[in-house]
Amino acid sequence: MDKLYIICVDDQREVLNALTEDLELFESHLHIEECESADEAWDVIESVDSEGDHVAVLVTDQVMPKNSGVDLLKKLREDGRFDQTRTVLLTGQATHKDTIEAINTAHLDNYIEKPWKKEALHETIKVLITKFLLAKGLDYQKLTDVIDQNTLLTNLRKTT
Amino acid sequence: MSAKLIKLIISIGIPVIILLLPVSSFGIDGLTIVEQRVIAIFFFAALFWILEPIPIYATSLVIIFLELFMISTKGFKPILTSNDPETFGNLVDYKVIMHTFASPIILLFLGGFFLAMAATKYRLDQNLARVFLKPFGENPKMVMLGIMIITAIFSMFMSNTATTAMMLSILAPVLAVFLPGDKGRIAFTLAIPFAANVGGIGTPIGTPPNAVALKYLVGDSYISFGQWMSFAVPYVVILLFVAWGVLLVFFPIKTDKIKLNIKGSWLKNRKAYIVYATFALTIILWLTDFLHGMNSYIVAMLPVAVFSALDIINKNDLKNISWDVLWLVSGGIALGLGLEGSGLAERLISVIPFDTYSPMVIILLVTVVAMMMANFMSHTATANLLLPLVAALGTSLSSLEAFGGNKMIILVVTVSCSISMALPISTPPNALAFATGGVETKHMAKSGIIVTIIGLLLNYLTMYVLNIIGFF
Amino acid sequence: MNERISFAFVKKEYFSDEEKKINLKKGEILINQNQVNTRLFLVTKGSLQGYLKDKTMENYPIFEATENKFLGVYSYFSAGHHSYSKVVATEDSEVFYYDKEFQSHTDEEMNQLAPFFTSLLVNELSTRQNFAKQMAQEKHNDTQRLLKAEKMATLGQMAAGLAHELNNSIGVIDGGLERLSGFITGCVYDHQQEQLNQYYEFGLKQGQEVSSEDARKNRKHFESIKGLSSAQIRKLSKTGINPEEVKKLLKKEPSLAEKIYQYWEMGCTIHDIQIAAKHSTHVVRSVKQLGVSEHEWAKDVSINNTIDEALVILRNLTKRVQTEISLDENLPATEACFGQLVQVWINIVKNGIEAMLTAKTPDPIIRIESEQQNENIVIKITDNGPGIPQNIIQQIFEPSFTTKVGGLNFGLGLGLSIVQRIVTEHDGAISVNSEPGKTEFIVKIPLIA
Repeated sequence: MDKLYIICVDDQREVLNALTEDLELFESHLHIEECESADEAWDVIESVDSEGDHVAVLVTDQVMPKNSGVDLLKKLREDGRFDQTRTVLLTGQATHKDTIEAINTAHLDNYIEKPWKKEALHETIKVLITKFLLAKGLDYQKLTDVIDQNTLLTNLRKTT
Repeated sequence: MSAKLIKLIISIGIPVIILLLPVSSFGIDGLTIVEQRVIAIFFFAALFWILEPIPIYATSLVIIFLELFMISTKGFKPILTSNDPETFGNLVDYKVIMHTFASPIILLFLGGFFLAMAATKYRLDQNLARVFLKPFGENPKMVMLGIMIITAIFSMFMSNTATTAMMLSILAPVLAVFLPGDKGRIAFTLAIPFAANVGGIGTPIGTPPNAVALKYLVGDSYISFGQWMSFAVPYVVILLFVAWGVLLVFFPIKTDKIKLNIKGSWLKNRKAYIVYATFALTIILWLTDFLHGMNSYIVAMLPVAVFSALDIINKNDLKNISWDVLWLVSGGIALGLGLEGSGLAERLISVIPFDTYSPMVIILLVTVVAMMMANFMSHTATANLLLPLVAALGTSLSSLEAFGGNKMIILVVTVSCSISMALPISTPPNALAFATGGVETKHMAKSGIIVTIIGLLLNYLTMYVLNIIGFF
Repeated sequence: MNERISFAFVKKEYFSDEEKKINLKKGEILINQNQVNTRLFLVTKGSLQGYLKDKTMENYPIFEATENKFLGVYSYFSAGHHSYSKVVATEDSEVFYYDKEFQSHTDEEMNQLAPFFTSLLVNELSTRQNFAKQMAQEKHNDTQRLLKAEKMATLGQMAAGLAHELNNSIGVIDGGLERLSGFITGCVYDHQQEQLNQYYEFGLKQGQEVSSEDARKNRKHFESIKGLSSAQIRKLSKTGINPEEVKKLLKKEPSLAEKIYQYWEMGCTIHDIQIAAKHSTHVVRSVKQLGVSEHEWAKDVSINNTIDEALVILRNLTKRVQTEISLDENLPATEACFGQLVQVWINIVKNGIEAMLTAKTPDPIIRIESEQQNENIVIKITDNGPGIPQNIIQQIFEPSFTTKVGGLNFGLGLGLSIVQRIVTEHDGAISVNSEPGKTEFIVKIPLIA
């Protein structure tokens, strides 16, 4: 099966560590990549794509030196290869304007405020992974630990 | 080496070896080269469906291609010409193999899919569930029975998976309020997949193994939609009560009150009315073929035509049709065709001395094998593999006549395929319920095995009664 | 106007009688409010001011008369001859007067003077109006200043309150952490996993020094070790532990893979919390300074120590560039505010490093030097970043100036305006020279014996 990735971006290493630590649950089935800048994240996204694997979820901080999280999300959205990749903006200091911009121009899927709650983060990521798998038509049966049942059931009702 | 690769090597290796062996090594008199190829394809199908190195529907498509390539009249010429037609054997008409994609059985299922899809889209399913569940009150045991009956009825006309998905999402808020330690939660979570599995037996379109069975229920063995329901629905009802009882014994409910709150209201627009009317009319026509002469296959085209013409099912909805299920059945039909068309089925029956066994032993053997296999692999794939063999057995074995003959043995095996529900991997509804996290494999196994075994015994009893009243 | 009647003529003719001269000392009153006045005065020396007294305002100034200006115009020409203001000398002055009562003139004379007085009156009116306008403007400015001061005071109080609250919490965190880390270290050593202790220590001492990019590169070394899950490979790659060492250890005990990371992470986490607590302490200190200016001046502050302290706080940042420190060991101590100077270095160094990182300067270097020059201690902070553009170099010390997008990073950068304020408070000076590839901040702190 093709590999699935969750890409985490935050310029603060401590925060990045805490984030991947909290996402460890997903590592049983998905790969987690840590990136300290938007540019680094883009390189990783490109290499995942060139291997024929999938970026299922991108979790990014907003305020970073050079390219911001919103810049990264916009770039991802404008690239047809990643139109199903789900995105999360994770930040404690986004201004109202940043958030609106992220939603309007980068079609942000989710906005999580720092400090986050582990359970809430898990729920969100599960829903996003499920949506990604269903949209991509990938096999979800072996991933029951990391997908959201409600999202799955709602979708399965529509099939025959 | 990954497990997947090992599976793939085994699944390809064994059929290739069979293909390369000299014909004489099989020890079957008069075995032709084409028949040998069919044996290889059959092993290929069995290994691929059992080990599942690729999706099961993909195996079906490969089977159809292999048949077209190796044993059809327009196949790959270099391997299809022979100096000695006697030892080479009979080729199968390529058109017949290709027709499996659009066989009446497939179209019957397509009709069922259209009905189910329109019902979901116009919320007929949810509204029916809301109305039907009301009379069952708030007593948890009665609510559970109600849910099981509704689930079973729906799964007769909708796919078992979609029915389970709907009922589980209706039940989700109720499940959430169960106190920890209350086994009632397990009972409710298992009730839905069990009812969906059992309910599928109720109509020819209830579950894909029934479709596979229809292929062999032709000619003298023909069975109409209504006839199917007349024996299957009572069976379903009894087994449903059995499952209900088993679940209540194993997982007693502590809560004394359960309040289902299904939201929604009837849609009251032109399209919705058309859906309600077409749904009702289609079922009525299916049950009254003796009045109007249209068989169930032709009736099935009614919803397809009406819903497409009136844009009730649009282009986008077509994408949600489970083509994989249809093609899985096509592959099974094609496999049967290969066995029959090449003459292999007859030859096997003639070679193996089945007549020396008691028919009772044979029935017991095939049903238990079907039940066991279906617990570990797809019900449809099990039916795909077993029914062609069983059908050949049924027509050739004269001693079976006293028990109901060909028709009986096909039905008894088909039902045996559908009642296996001991493991999460047994059926998609089981997998869905397991995925909710509310049940463990051991919960499902201990109640599932009991229901399966009682179902099997009840299956024999049904056939016995049917034989007595002269159904066959 | 009749040319004969000029100001000089009037002055000579009517305001030159030595008997009608009054000398006033500073503060002496010429006319009281509401007093009957029949005299017209001409100031020949000094200056006087007219005040109006009403219910709300004591002595509200309404006009000012300097040399060659007339006084008492209103009361002289009005019907009742009542003065509407009090006139006081603001310095020693000399005035001549002309009294209506005692000096009568012929009608012809008066007719000749009329145009002169008309112009005098108009002039008087416009002068007073201007004066009133000016006073109103000044009053408005005063109000604004007062409001701003009040706002700053409120902000300062809030900041002080916040700082106080946070200070207590951070104190608990900092102290608790110290006890906990001691306790945990004890537990680790008691745990009989001797081969793992070094990883705990490694994490505790260094924290994570491997960047995410390098961690990805490290991965292939760990991928060659059999039996590691992808998660374990990812984690081990960022520890900076030698893969060969891990390989050797795992050969003996394959089950230790997870443990190695856990021990390292335990140390690393404590390390991170220590850094974070330290950061918080300093942020709180900066906020306090911003608000109520907590000055803890001492007579024997070592400037080198303040630089060291700043570098400790900035460790996370300085390790991302090459840092060259050359401090003069023999610098004498001086009277200064330790905490504030630390702030100065933090701000300058942080600005420099961030500019280099943002611009992706190849081989970024930051150099900090200190030396004594005569009666000053001079600190030079140099980076090889992109430089400050000429068009904004004038503004960098302005309070609201920032080149950062989206705000602060770790809450330390209170800006160069603070830096300048602090340096000024030390009677020092700060200057900046910048060109692409070299930006140099020079801070001079005078030695105070």
